[in-house]
Amino acid sequence: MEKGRVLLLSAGAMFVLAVVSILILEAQGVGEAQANAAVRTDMVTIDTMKAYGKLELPPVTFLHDKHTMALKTGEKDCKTCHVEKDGVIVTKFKREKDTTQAEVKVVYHKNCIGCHTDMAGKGQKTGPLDGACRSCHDAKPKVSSAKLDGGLNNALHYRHTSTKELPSTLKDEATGELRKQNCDRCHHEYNKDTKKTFYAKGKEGTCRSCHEAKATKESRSMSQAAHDSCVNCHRTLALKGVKETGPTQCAGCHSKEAQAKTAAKNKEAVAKAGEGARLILKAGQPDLTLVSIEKPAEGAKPMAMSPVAFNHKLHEKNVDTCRACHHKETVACGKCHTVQGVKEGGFVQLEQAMHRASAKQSCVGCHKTKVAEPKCAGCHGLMKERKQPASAECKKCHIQGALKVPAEPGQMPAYWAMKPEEKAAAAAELVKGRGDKADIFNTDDIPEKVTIKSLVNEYEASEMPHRKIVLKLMENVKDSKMSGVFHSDPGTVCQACHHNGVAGAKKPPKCSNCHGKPFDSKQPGRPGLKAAYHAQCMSCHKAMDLKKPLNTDCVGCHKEKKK
Amino acid sequence: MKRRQFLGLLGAAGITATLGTEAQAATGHTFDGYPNAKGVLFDSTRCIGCRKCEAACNKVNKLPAPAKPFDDLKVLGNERRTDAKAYTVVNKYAGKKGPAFRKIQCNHCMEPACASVCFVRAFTKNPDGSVTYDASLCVGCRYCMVACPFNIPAYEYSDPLTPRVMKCTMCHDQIKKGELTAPGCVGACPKEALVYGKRKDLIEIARERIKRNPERYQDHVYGEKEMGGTNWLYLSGEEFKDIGLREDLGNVSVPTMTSGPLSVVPMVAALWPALLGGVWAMNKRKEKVAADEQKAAVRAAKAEVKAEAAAKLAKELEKAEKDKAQAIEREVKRALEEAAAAQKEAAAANKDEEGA
Repeated sequence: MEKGRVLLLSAGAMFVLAVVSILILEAQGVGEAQANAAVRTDMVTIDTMKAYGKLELPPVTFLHDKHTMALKTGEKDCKTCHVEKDGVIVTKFKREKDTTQAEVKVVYHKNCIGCHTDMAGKGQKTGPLDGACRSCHDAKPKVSSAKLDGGLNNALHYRHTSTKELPSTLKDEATGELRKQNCDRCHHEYNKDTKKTFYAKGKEGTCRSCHEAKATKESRSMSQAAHDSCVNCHRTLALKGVKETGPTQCAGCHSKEAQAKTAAKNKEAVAKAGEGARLILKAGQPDLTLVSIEKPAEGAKPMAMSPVAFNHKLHEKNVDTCRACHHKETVACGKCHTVQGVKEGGFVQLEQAMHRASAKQSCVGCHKTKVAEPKCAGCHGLMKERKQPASAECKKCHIQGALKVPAEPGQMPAYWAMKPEEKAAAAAELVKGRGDKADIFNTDDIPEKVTIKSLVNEYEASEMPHRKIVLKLMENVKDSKMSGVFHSDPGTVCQACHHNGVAGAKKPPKCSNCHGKPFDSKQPGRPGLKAAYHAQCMSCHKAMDLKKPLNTDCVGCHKEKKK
Repeated sequence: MKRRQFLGLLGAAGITATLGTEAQAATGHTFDGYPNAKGVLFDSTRCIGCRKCEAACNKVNKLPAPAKPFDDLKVLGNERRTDAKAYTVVNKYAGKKGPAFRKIQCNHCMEPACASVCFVRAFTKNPDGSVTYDASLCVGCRYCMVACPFNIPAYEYSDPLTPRVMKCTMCHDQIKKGELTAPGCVGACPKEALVYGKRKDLIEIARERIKRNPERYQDHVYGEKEMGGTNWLYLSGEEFKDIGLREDLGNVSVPTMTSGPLSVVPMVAALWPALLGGVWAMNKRKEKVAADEQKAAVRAAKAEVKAEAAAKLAKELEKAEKDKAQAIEREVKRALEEAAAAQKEAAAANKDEEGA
């Protein structure tokens, strides 16, 4: 009896152990499968049947580009899998509309397996055949998606508007010739009664103002609209024999490599267009304007900052898309972001909409992302650790100047009542007096070499090529107008290293004036002199991605002292 | 003593003992560190992995020269531990934001596990925050090495006669003697990745750095609470577990963790004899009672048997008496009859003789 119980207990323990180890093995197997998974940009998960209720089998993982490539070998084209309606390929598989569950299921099974079977019959390499349900309906697909969001940025928009391959389809009423602007090729309005789209001149907006992430009753989803319009147009052009068309394959828009290639071409096109060219053809947006508060409520006496002279044209060129600043609709910021904040603007106040550093769409927030680039980050990384910009910086945007804007007695000038052209003229007047080129002291006034010798013991003094560094930093800021404006006072660049100095003063204070012995309990945040030197040089080099000298290569900066 | 009484007393003693330890914990028995204890703050985001700290440590503690010179930075790649010849090591980790370095040495716990397990009190937590070791007291049990949650104390296995436990002292002796103003490693760091100061101030400094650069740092000061708090503190841009610092240690020091169970030891020592004695006495009494009862039963049985036997004997005797009486009577009767017959015969004979 006793023996029997011991046996039973040990058998139970062994069973538990076995189950646990099997589970662990299983878990490890899953990890391996994920690690080995092929990464694809063309992975489409077909779960169309979800619309009809719970799925009977797992959704199908479909590799679109793999199939497109296979078409080429068999002299087939898009129509092998898609229906063409009015010369336009329908994105759905082999049908125009989703009808009933049974029918759609048949469409998929008959056509997928049918084509595979045909090919197999011809001895060609092909996909799963009848009966191999789980080869397609695989709950744990071996591929994972690396699809990036595709998109049309301002430069690519320019390439579309400037190409000769996309002429307008409409005639100019005055001349009877085809219009010069081809907006009608893509932009449209929707007529609810006839349920058709039509072009309305001057009403061009962003795609997303109607096409949202999910389809609504009246408009397709953004993704659906983009695939319907962009891919079809690219295909039609290609069929016509146009050499350079947009992508028709998934990877063309959604892969990292293709996006890099497109970006390079965009850059080339923008450079070719020249300095004064406008990337987004004018659709009501100003070139130059004054940003001020909207008309205050009756009786309110706001004390607002001086208006900001804003160069809209220049910003269009330097941001990716309109969405860099605007939300889905391209309306003036102040319309929704009022001084106090209203519901339409999500209660975000005007001041916050412009200055909130953590928001990507605010002025300050966007400028902050620009200074995070390596060529700027050396100085700006150090500045960030210190303090907020000096109040003099405010004037870089809020240029103070006497404008002849009428004001009611006791009120601020009525900037909001100005006409667009008046605003443009006023802004131009303000900007005139503002420096927009980065400036530095005369080269002779910049010390060529600075010998750091106050700490010499283990190593010799360090000879820092001071002038070379300054000139390199100036070189980095010279191309951008934004950095031009913010570095227009000579001595601004010096402030990155010579912080706490007086702006514009040629002779900065010595480092050792403030940085002395380490671990001063009265100044716990202030590094000692040695650490101050090392931290300054090394963090700047790191932020700027400079490879040499290595942080640990002591003799790269100061020679070893001979004993 | 009666069994019920004894059990009651035992229970009361047990409850008193348990209540006693709880009351102790509630009164804030934990040690919050010496008020002006010093410490070191290590900022991993500032460390460049130059090994100057290792070299300085070696020099100020007069440790033997290492196998590979300190300017050989290739050793950083292998995860190294402190040993009898190196009180501190810097390791390189592949962080998510790029390579990250971490220096490790004795963390000088506020309530050191090594000191709590040492039964000869060879370890001392000094008011300056350092944890030091006295080789003259050490018996070489190496419990400290087992107890240390950071795997720091090392042993001079190579020394057959006077092996010592070796670990960082936060340069306690050198600073006390005035040879140094800060631990050797701290003084040697070119980037102030190590800051020496009051632990209280260091936590402030660390918090300030996190506040100023939230994206640069993990929002945590390692060592502020770990294992009840350590005097060596760490800041990192990477997750602490990714730079080889255990995140599973919890915030309770080893002495606090063990004080509960250990406080029961004296109770066990006091109550065990009483408990066992009581159990013994109880068993003893039970045996005695059983023996007495048995004896009584035997006696009773014996008496009964005896009585029965006596009764039986009496009966038999009575019967025998009766039989005897009957026999006598019978004999007497027969004798009388015989005598009567003889008398008749004699009378007859006499008659005959007379008649004759």
